[in-house]
Amino acid sequence: MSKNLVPILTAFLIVLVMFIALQVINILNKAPIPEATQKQIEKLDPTLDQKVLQDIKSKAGS
Amino acid sequence: MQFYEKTLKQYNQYTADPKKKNYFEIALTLGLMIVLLLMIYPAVTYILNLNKEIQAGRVVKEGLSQKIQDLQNARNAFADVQTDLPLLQLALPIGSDVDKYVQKPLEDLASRHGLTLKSIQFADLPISQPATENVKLRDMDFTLSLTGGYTNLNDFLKDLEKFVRVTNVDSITLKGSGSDVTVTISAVTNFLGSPVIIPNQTSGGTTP
Repeated sequence: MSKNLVPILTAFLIVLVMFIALQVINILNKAPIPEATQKQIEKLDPTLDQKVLQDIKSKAGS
Repeated sequence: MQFYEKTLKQYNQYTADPKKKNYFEIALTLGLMIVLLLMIYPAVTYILNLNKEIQAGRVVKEGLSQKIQDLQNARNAFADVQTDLPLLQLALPIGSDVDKYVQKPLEDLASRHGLTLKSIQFADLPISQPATENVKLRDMDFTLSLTGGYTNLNDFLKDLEKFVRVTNVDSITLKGSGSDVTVTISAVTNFLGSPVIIPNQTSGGTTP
């Protein structure tokens, strides 16, 4: 009985190891931050282009 | 007791023959490994997911802190230029502001330079004020017809160029009749308006 059981258990073990490995790879490759949160933490540039403003001011003044 | 004896007897049967014993041990080892893997699998995935979430949480925290700092800087920068906002609104208005644009510079400059404004024609112009969010730079094409002296027309164009709201003159057509000249100007100015939505050609309509 054991003689017949060994290949079955071996095959099952290989499939199980592959399944676990694939699950681990899937978890590691999953995007960590959801898209909505990603959008919320997008950087913004707080500096204003003062030169443009000065140009407009000088144009309005002339 | 009977169960124990029966099991022991069965075990002895398996281990009596060395070949059978080896197969039996291998089968037991494989079975044990499968059981252990099945037991450890949920814990491994849980820990990996948890690590991933902790890493993401750190990134989000850092990003949000940076964003708060940037927003404070932006608020300070906005407070600095708040007094100049009407000027910005004049230079690049939200909404076409066509009434103000016709009044000043067009009518104002025309009367200042002694020109007669014969007609103004705007193409595809939204009148309503758009929502301040999600506005895009849009063109406001128009054709202007004026009558007057050539030098006056020249001065009109120079002053139009100097005006704070930028006007790009595309073409000028001159028609002379005596001392007066009739000029037709095709020009474009810009404003911030709702983006133009082009209807999808493939959807809609009926199929036979």
